[in-house]
Amino acid sequence: MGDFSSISDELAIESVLAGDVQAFEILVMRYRDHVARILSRHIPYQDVEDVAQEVFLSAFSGLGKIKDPKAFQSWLSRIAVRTCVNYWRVKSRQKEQLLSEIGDEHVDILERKLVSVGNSPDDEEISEEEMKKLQELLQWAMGQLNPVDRMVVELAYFENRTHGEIAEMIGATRGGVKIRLFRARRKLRVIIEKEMRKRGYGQKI
Amino acid sequence: MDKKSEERLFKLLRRAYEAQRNVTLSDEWKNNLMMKIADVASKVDSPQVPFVSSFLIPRRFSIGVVMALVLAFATLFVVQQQLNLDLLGLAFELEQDNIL
Repeated sequence: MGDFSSISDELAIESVLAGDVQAFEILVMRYRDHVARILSRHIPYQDVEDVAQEVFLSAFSGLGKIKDPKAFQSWLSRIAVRTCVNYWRVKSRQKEQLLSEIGDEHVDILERKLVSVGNSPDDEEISEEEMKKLQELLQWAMGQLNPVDRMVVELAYFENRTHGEIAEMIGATRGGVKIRLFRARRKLRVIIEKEMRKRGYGQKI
Repeated sequence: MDKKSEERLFKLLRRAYEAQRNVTLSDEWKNNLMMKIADVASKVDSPQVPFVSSFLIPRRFSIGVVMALVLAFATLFVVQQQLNLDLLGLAFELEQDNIL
């Protein structure tokens, strides 16, 4: 497919609905990076390609139901987020041990970074190896939250989304998101704190 | 864990989250997706029930159901001919003499 930048989302959607399946490629080309960015943050990278196909297939099948074609990107983002939640639901139902256990070295790095008083965590020097361990720790801790709590924490604390945006994305009320967020944050803190204490850390924080 | 440590914890987790690897979706991935989409579209749009019946009969009716209905009507028509009845209300008259 050639240059498609001049074709609006609305026109592409209209063409697809009129039977021109190839017009959907315009939307795929335009939004594949956007979808990949969302999925890369919420699911393991090795599954991103398959889940991204699932997202676009759902979008194609549901295109007739879109209320505002101008808001295609938000609509697609909602599909991507809900597909991620479903991904974790299926995984937890299958009781798959997706994430490796963490060890003392993970907790040790975390404690050192938590007690480091010199810098703000945003400016803290973190080596590649330390970052890898922190990411494993993050995945391990997030894996213990339920799929919706996990999504809410990621969207609110790591992506700075508003309660309203999250409510729209996961199909909940703003009040519901607020309560869920409060509980999930506390749960995440307790999970990490408990693991630190279990391994003899956490006395200094 | 005090409030300050909790704040630091979430900021650290946020940095770890942001540093996660971003996957790029290739053209091969896109071509593969478009094939799947063409497949889905062909299943949805295939003219299983052509012409008039396509708007008289819901799409969820399979070709098998349509064939069964056609067969039932054909059977009824033959039976009507054999028994010289007017089951379909068509007032069909068989002029056997002319045929013979």
